[in-house]
Order: sequence, then structure tokens, then C-alpha cells
Amino acid sequence: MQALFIGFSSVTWQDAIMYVVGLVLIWLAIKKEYEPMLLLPIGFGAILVNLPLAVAYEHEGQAGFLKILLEAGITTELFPLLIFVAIGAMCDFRPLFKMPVMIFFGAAAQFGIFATLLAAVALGFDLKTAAAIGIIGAADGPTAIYVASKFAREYLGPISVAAYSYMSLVPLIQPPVVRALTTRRERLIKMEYHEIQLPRSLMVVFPIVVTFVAGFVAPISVPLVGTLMFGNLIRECGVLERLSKAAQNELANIVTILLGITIGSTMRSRAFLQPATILIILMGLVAFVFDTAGGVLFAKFLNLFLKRKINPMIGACGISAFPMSARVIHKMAKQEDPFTVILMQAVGANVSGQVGSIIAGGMVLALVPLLVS
Amino acid sequence: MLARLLQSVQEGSEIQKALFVMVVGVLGVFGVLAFFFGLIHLLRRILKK
Repeated sequence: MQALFIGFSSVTWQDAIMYVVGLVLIWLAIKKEYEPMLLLPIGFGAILVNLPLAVAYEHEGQAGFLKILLEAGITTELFPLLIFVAIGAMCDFRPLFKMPVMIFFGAAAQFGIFATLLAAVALGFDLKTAAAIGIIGAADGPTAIYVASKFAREYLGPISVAAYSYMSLVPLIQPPVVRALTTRRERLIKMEYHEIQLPRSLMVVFPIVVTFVAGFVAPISVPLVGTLMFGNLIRECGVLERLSKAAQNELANIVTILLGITIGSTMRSRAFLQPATILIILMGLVAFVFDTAGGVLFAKFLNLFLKRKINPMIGACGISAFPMSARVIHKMAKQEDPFTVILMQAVGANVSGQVGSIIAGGMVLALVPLLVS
Repeated sequence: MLARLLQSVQEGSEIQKALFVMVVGVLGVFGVLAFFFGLIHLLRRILKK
């Protein structure tokens, strides 16, 4: 008789909380449209894995489909890398090539990763876990998942949820930080933009050269850089339009579905309902704030030496959340002065943020193992 | 000298290790992107011809 009601008798209050967490993520995805492509599958995966007996994950020693996906796609790091191929195929580096100086904002706005890493260690996390928490500041879901799956698989769920949630909250996070660090006069700075023609061969040669450079300078970053640049080469070569479209659409969509539900399956109540989860979520916000501050303050620093001043708001676009950050900053500039147009500069900085976040991820992957025995 | 620095950090506290990752990481990201900055200029010049 008890076997008939085993579903009801085996549920715990922790499981019930996880149902609420899953439903909140689904609600945020549908009602608020916060990164719905990821938050909805993550929310549903979180519910599936916490249902009585967790049959979808594992039952009587047999792996369920969620565990199979986890082992095939996350343990092997395959899903985030396939997403990089898709992102590479979506990436247009032209705005960056037209204004190469914008690339430095892609570096400055990674400051939040390292500042948060330091803060996480100060709060008592070990270096590997702190690095995985800091990488939320990459504002780049696949990089966060890739690093977390290498350094802190037990926190993969909260790190992924934090990364994607804050990416969708960029319109709420960045404006107050930018306003706090800039004067109105600085926000009114106008920037010139000159349209220049780029040789098509540049678009083809760039991803190949960058892959070689990554391979020789930082071999550990090759999976990240190589897949991104492979996707970009498919896009730019001009003879693989079908593959480019497939990478941008079918590949991106299929892997996103599988990645999301698999991340959700790491949110088992016993592992997720810990004080560390709340700390991780809070530190993700700190990372985004420091990223934005790093970019803005770097722009202000450059202005000390430049004759033609840069609108320091551009610095905030150096994070990887593309194109959300560029749109947010352009909108802010328009609110200050309706005749200001800084969209191309903002997009250039935002694209360089995508490269910067991967380089930062590679740096963390290379440095941390050197220091941890 | 670098090897000695690395060894002293390896033997140091977690905070020292985190500071090392922070400093080298930030400089490293700037260094690599500065290299890409030069590379873009160079490729633009070479491929224009």
C-alpha cells in the first residue's frame, strides 16, 4: 500500500522549496522575459530533478535522461563549447575593427571577475570555487558554465542561474552604477564616428590568426577561443551560408534547450539549499557592479590623456552581455541628450567584451591550477 | 625570478593567491587584448594593399 503513495511520502520540504524556485524561474522567463531561453529550461529542470525519487535523474542505479545529458554535455564541457560555435557565428566584429581602441574596454570591464574572486576568498571559499563564482562577472553564460564545470561542479546550478539572471538584469544594474560614477557633463560628451571600409579578407583572417595566437600563448584557452573563432569563420568566409545559419539557429536552439534543462538538473535540493547559494547569488551582483565600474573608471582614466574625450558610459559596454549593454548605454546617452549617437562605439566595446570575457576565462583556467595543489 | 615569485605565492595564504590571480589576470587580459589591438591595426594595413 505504501508503494502506491511513495510519490507523496518521499517528498521533503526542501524539495517543495525547489519547486517554488523552479516555478519562480519559469515565471521570470514567461512574465518578465528575463533570459527566457535559459531560465525556463533551468526552472523546469530544477522541478524535474526534485520530483519524488528523481527518476528523471537516476533510478535504481540506472541513469535517467538528465544524468545522461549531464555526463555527456556538461562533464565533457561539450554543451558550452557548442554554444560558443553558435555565438561565434552570431558575432560581427566589424564595429570593433572600425574602432579598435574599444577593445580595451573589453579588458577593463572584466575587473569584476577578479575583484569578486578576491572577495569570495575573503568570505571563506577556496580558490577554485572563488574563481568559479568570480567568473559570473564574465557576463557570459557559456564561459561561466565552462569554468564552473571545471572548478566547482557542485555550484554549477547557482552560478549558472546567477550568470543568466544578472545578464537579463543589465538594464537595472548598469544605469545606477554609471550615474554614480560619472558627472552629467561627462555623460554629455559627444563622440565622432567615421565610417570606413574594411577589407573582407580581414574578417576571414582575424579568427584564424586569433586561434593560432591563443594556441601558442595560452593553450588552455583553445577550446573557448577556438570554438568561438570557428563559428565566426563559418559566418565570415562567405561560402558557408547554410552552416552559418544552422549554427546561429538550429545548433544554438537545440544546445540551449539541452544546456538549460541539464543545468536545472544540478539544482537538487540538498546541494542547492545552502547558505553558500545565497552568497553566490549576491556575489554575482557584486561582480556585475565591479565590471561596470571597471569599464567606466578606465574610460575616465583614458580621458585624462586624450584630446578627443571618450564618453565614459561607453566603458560599461565592455561586459559580454551583447547587445543588451550597448542598447542600455545608448538609451542612457539619448536620455541625457537626444542628439547624441554613441551606438556604434557602444557596440564596438560590447563585442570586445565578448572576446575579453573568454580571455579572462582562459586566464582563470590557466592561473588557478598553478596555485592549487 | 618569476619561478621564485610563483613558489612564494604557492606557499602563501589563499588571499595572497587570490591577489596574485587578480593582478596577473587583469594584466593578462589587458596584455592579450592590447596584442589583438595591434593585430587588428596590422591586418587592416596589410590587407588594405
